[in-house]
Amino acid sequence: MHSMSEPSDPIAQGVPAWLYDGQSALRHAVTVAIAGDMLLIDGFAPTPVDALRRIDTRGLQFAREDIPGWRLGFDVEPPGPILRQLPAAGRYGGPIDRLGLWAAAAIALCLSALAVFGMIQGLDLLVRIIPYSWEQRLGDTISGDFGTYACRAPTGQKALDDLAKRLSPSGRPMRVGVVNIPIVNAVALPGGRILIFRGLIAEAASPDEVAGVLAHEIGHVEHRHVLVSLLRRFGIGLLIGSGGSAADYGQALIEARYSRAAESEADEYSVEQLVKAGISPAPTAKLFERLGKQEAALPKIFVYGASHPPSADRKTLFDGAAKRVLQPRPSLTPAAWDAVRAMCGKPTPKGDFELRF
Amino acid sequence: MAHDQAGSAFRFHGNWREFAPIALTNLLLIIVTLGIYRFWAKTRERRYLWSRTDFIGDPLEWTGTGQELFIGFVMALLLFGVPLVAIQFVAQGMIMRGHLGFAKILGFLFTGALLYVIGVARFRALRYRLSRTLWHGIRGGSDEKGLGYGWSYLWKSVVGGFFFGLMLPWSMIDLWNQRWNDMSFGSHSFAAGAEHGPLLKRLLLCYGAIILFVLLLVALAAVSTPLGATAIVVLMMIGITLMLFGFFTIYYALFLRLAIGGLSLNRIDFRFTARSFDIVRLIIGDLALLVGTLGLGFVFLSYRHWSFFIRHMDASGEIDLAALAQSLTEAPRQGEGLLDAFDVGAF
Repeated sequence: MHSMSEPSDPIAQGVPAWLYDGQSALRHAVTVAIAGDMLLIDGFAPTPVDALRRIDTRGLQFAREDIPGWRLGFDVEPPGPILRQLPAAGRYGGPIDRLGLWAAAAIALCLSALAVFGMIQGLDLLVRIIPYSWEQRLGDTISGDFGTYACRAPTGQKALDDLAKRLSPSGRPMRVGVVNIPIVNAVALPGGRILIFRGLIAEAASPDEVAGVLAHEIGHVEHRHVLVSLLRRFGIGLLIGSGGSAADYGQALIEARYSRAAESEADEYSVEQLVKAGISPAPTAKLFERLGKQEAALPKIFVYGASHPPSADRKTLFDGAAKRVLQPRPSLTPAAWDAVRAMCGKPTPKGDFELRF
Repeated sequence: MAHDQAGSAFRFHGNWREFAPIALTNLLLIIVTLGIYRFWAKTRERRYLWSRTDFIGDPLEWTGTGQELFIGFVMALLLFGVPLVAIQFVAQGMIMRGHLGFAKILGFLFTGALLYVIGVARFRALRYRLSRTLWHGIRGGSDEKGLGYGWSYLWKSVVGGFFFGLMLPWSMIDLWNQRWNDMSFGSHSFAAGAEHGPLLKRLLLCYGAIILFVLLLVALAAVSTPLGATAIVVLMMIGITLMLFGFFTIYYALFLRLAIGGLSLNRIDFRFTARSFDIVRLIIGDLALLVGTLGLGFVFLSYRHWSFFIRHMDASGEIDLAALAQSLTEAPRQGEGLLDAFDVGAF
């Protein structure tokens, strides 16, 4: 405590300073002294030392929170007794100044690692809280009845619906549709909608190949991967995803880690369900092998879809499970397979197709 | 460095050794916070750069905070990011249903809305920066919120593209003037009266040079030179790329000189002295810095650009300190969220 009673105290003499009052641009030459917890400024109202905030700038400057533009500066550093009572400057901002740079950086690093880990693990938990009916409504908004590209044929549709039921014992509501787009692919959309592109049916050598892909997409629906990828891309991803290179790496890490995990989960589901339904996974392995040879980069139309890149590993997985099906049954009867193949009618000439966005 | 700003009303006293600890600790904190620290990092940078910038002998001060930049960013995300995603969903839903026409109309409206929002963002960013810039305890600001400016930005940007971009000089200068005429510092209003005529002449000159160059190459090809057709195409590509880079700097340097040269505050007239060659040197220096440091030198770019900007700023006239009173404009509560979201600069 500084005693005011000492008559020889140099503080009482006042030290030179300058002041902007926040009212006009005039610079006032003042002298400053400290009395107790008040700062005495000649010609101006005394200021509580508590109200002062040191500014991180050239020289020694103080501001007052309650008067915008009020600045008190010292061209010559004031004597120790005054200086010691004035507040210190902030540097990095709030908690980092209290913790110190390295401690704060270490803590932030741990929190960030936790956040990345949590996002990989936690999104699945979050998605389980969201009711499936909400997701279905979202699916309605996005894909409706699959539009003018949908191939509508009752017999073929019934065959696909029956096959989908055989491959999804949970009874979760789903809708399978075939669209007249010449791409060898299938995609799961929000709300249990599965689109099979005409190109896949045309490419498939047997209905079992279509069944394998269909089961894979059903796997995405059962695990609710579509909603997870959607949340990841647009929700949390938006917040940290636009934070420059470091955040981009984090985001890319999450995406890569997640989609790899999701694809193998869907593949495992597919294999399990094929085996349970008594359908041989071997034809699906052959399909992957053929697609792997073409290895053409498939166009990704749906940013929120979960597509499945063909690869040698997947072929091995499906091939390996083939011996578990001792007496394979066909996924579709020849008549049903013909009906499915006829769903989109004759293939349209290539130039007809256009989908721009 | 001091000699080229001797006698100028604006002076920059910073040096990169002082700036390096700020830039490097910022980089560290940005990395370990997955980018969230960037708002506070920007604030620290500006506090340093402003405090080393003198206007007639006294320094500027940056009073903005990282928190308000962060809040601005989150608000922009909620106000514009979420509707943006929603529109994308609706558009995709329409395509799925085969309503390509509607989707196209939606895309058209979307582009318009985006231009409007960018316009508002530019206005508000300038207003925010002025309101957080202190000189002699006085700050700047604007009574406008930039909603009207958004409309101007929308239609003037569209008109700017007419006639192969020949309306661009008018569009850019007019928008600059409109923006600055709404700004004030303390009790004084800015007056912006830049003219676009000289800029149009320069653009025409650039166009003429490109046409001449292409004609020259065509003629070269016609009189069957020893050069093959591929060589001519490659030559053309290189030539046009270099020319576009050169013309961009020539055009932009003049734009800045005209725009800032037309600006005044009460009895102070501002001037910008950077020539095209100075800007070319700045950009080449940037590239050399980035290449030489394997990209890490990007933390020094803001320093380089600010110091370049201030070293080429000048002002003349007189100022009555007693008459320059505190700004009565309403100070915006959050920062440059929109601008941050769209990644466009304030100038």
